[in-house]
Amino acid sequence: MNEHNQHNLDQFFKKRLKDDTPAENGWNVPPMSILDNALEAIEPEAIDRKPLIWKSLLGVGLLAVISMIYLVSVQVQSLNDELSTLKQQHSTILASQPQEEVIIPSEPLNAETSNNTQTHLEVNQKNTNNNDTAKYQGTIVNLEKTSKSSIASENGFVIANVDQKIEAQENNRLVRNFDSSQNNFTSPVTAIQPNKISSQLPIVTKPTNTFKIEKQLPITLLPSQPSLLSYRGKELTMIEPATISEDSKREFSIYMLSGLALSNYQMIGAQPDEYSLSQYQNYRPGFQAEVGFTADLSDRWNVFTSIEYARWSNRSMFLQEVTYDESNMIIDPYGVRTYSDMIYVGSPSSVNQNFMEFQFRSEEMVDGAAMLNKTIIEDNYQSIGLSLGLSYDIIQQSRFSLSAYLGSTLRSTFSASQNLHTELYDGSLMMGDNRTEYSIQNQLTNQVISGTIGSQVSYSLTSKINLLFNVDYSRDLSPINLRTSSTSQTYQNRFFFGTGLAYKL
Amino acid sequence: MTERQIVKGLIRGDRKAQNLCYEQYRSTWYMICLRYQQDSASALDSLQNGLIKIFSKIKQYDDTKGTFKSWSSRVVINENLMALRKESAQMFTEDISESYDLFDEQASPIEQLSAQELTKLIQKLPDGYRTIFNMYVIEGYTHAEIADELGINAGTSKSQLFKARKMLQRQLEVLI
Repeated sequence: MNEHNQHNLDQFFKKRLKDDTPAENGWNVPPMSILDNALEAIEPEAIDRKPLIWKSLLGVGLLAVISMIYLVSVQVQSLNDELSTLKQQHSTILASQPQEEVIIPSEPLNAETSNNTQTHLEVNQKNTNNNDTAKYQGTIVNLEKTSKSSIASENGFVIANVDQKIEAQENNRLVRNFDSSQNNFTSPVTAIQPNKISSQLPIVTKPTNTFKIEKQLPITLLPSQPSLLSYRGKELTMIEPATISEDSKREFSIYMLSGLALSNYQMIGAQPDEYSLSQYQNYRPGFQAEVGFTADLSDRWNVFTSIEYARWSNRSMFLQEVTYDESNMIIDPYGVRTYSDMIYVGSPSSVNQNFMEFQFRSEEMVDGAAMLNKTIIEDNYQSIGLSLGLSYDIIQQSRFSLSAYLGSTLRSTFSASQNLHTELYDGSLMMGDNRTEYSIQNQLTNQVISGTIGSQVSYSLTSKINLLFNVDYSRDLSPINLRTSSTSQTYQNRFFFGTGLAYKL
Repeated sequence: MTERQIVKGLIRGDRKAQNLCYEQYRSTWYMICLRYQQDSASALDSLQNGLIKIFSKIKQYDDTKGTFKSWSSRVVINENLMALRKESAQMFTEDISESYDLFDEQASPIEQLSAQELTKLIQKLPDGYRTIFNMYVIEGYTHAEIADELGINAGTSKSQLFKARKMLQRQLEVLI
């Protein structure tokens, strides 16, 4: 067919079909019921439902975070108040105690640490009445361990738990024994055998005393359970003024996470000649892994940075047999038999293919096959990113902690598509030769900035290793400009469900 | 009621404007659907979906960029393309150009064929051929634009168009 004839054919069809006036026989006039059906289907509220859902979820999320922060601050304030009350009680009780009940060893203690020392504790006690001093040295062998493994410092005081067990070894004598079952001192002053001290001993000293932590404790002295002790019928609290070495305030960890990443592409600002937002919701499962580093900023605030890698891969196959009606040499469109056993996912390099379809269909064949098309498409979408963010520990317990985090990620996205296309002819009708085409496309898309909000559950396996469970949602703050000519903008939403380990440095 | 008044009425959701709009343009839209779809039932489905899109996206219409008729026709065309894409993941297959008999309009009585008959001929084309023929010949897209719109190569568009013309020519020969 030469160009002249092509032009004639084109002009002929165009001229005839561009005349869109309603025909007398009504073949090109649709019924009014179509309008009624369309209007019924339009729900004004539904048009903007998607943005409303996102806004609502964001609002609820913010409200939840604010509520949690408020509740935590109220709890902390309550604890502070209780702490102040206890401190006052303690001071009052100490002031009312007879002078002789202040225990001062007759000579300096010669401390020895046991072989299984976990923490060496040194207490200097000073009697403000006569300026005598005493030094207690020993080991803390069974204190509650927490995931944070840090020393809590609250207004300069360290609060020990009731169940803490201190084994102290002294050369001279036991200061006092404490019976944890009765929550009381069994004997205020007891002479002891040298090197034979093992007691449930709470630390009760005067405010001028100091603790020197010589190495980082694998424990947390939480202010959440201030211990009330009784001494001769009077309540005592284990409130200690403390100086904690700077090293114990900071904690550094490295972590590794991997898991399922559910990706969703969302088109925003689609023009009328593009596809609407609601029709371009494309979810695809993938894999994501990240390694990161975290450091304490304070008791509850942490900063983290990480490098992530994510990948989505989809393989699809399409098999088509084209058949012919030999009587008129016309391809019968209903004679096309189509097999499709794939989940077809368009490459993100093209907005028009940016959708997912599930196809498990077949159609009947009319005559013998004349041409067989087989196409295998493999799309790979990958991204690497660098994240920076802050996390806040909402719950801190002995081995378990729950934190929420906010972060931002700079991502580079890549897509690669392989296409293997094969055509096989039976030679009866078509004049083509069998052929196979293979093409591969790699495309570097631009960089995007994403915001992430999520939560992490941490469980201490050992003093050094924590098991992590993360759930987060990340949203592109800048669009992936897949097609520069398009006025629409595509954003990626990503849901990550990961697990991994953290190692304390 | 002028086109501008109709558009304003559509934005307000005025039922009278919607009726007028439908009566005025329904043949235009329906003929597009008939050309892109294989049968009238599918065409009516696409028309209905196109109407929903037109009414719900009317605020995005910019009268400085073209008439309402051309804008709404584009919406309907895209609705048809999407419907076809959902039906067939692989409408477009590469093929080999072949040399066929000449089409000589002046030498044949095909002028007698009506628009309805021509539309039916187009409907008989396979999805890929029909789509590209409509976009190139009737709507005036270039091969580059078709390739961009459909996510295929420009060469594929050309070969599909060639095959579409070839098949139409053969069908015309059978009819006359």
